Amino acid sequence: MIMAATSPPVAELILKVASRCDLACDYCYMYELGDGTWQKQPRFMTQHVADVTASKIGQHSAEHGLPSFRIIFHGGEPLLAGAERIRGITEAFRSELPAQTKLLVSMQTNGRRLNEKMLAALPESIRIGVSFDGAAQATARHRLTPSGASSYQDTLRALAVLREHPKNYGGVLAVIDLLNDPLTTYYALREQVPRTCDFLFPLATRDGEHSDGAYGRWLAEVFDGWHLDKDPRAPVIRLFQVIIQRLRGVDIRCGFIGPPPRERSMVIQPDGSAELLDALRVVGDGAAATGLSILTSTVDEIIQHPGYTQPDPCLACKKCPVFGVCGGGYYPNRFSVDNGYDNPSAYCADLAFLISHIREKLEELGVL
Amino acid sequence: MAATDTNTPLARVLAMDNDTTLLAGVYLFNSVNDGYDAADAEG
Repeated sequence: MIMAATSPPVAELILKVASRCDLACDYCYMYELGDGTWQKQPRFMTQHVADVTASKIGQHSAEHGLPSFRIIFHGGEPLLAGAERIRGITEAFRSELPAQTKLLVSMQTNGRRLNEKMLAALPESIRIGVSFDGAAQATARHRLTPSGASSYQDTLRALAVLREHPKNYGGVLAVIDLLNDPLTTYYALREQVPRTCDFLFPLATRDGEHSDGAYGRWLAEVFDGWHLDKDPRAPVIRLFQVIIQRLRGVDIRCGFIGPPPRERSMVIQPDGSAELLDALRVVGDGAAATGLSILTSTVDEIIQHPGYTQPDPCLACKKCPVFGVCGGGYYPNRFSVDNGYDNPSAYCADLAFLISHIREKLEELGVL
Repeated sequence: MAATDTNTPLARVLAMDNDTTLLAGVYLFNSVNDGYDAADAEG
């Protein structure tokens, strides 16, 4: 392993508290992309694994003087792990973090098991993001139960609960399907009154078909209906937020567009294995693995694994006029068997179109 | 100018703090810099 002298600190853990899911979405990167590592995992993270992880994160936070640390409950479907387990894990982190480090708690769920009783049993200030594709037809196309039924009504019930508890309502995430009308999809998300939402490109590498810009045009239609929307329910859309800010020269960082974040994010599996980005499963079986475990290594040892450093964008990207905004895009989308990550994104045409479109609109408004 | 209407999402984005980091990657939703985290830390 290449040992870096110093690595940026880890400021966030994605805790895989459950390795199974109660939905069978056809685009899922965990189960549908050929990576079978989840089958080797225990169904749930134990309190012992959580205690060891929390202890090591406490030490790491103290050594690096972190002002805050975020844990994100994820899976599989994290609510399968149950509220009691999630509270126990949260308590372990709260007791291990130094006094100067704020604990931030989030979860990404499909919402099927989220009701008032469940929410009341979860950590009090948990921020919950819900995966939701918008209209009924869109959800019925991809987000299905194992028996093939649409999860739409279940998700709507969860969103209704969260609307009553805005402090706990993180937002909604929708995967783009070009078969759906862009504005219909935006309005369907807006109807759920999330403060924030986002639209995701389906996972792809350069080895598949390259998009010709259709996703960028789809998103540009959403942008046009969104940016001056006076409906009080209109959410912030994360992708647009990042593009707007970067076009204005604000150094906003995230993991999917623009230069990489300054801090690191680490995935911990139920058995304590440390992993890289989940989305790397699209690259191949075991691509997210590090071979390291939080049970036997320190956080600083794990983070020196070279996979935690994003690969450099290709030369063509660096010469591109929108590089300062897109930074080469989400790096799993740059992968090809022949060149590794030395490619433009599979969504290069889309990002270029969307960024140029937003720039034109902001110039028209005098914002740029 | 329409963009300065504080009721629009664009105006809200323009009013957000600078130099933010959004971690967790695109397939998870955690923080948009909306002020809630600072107020509601300590899960």
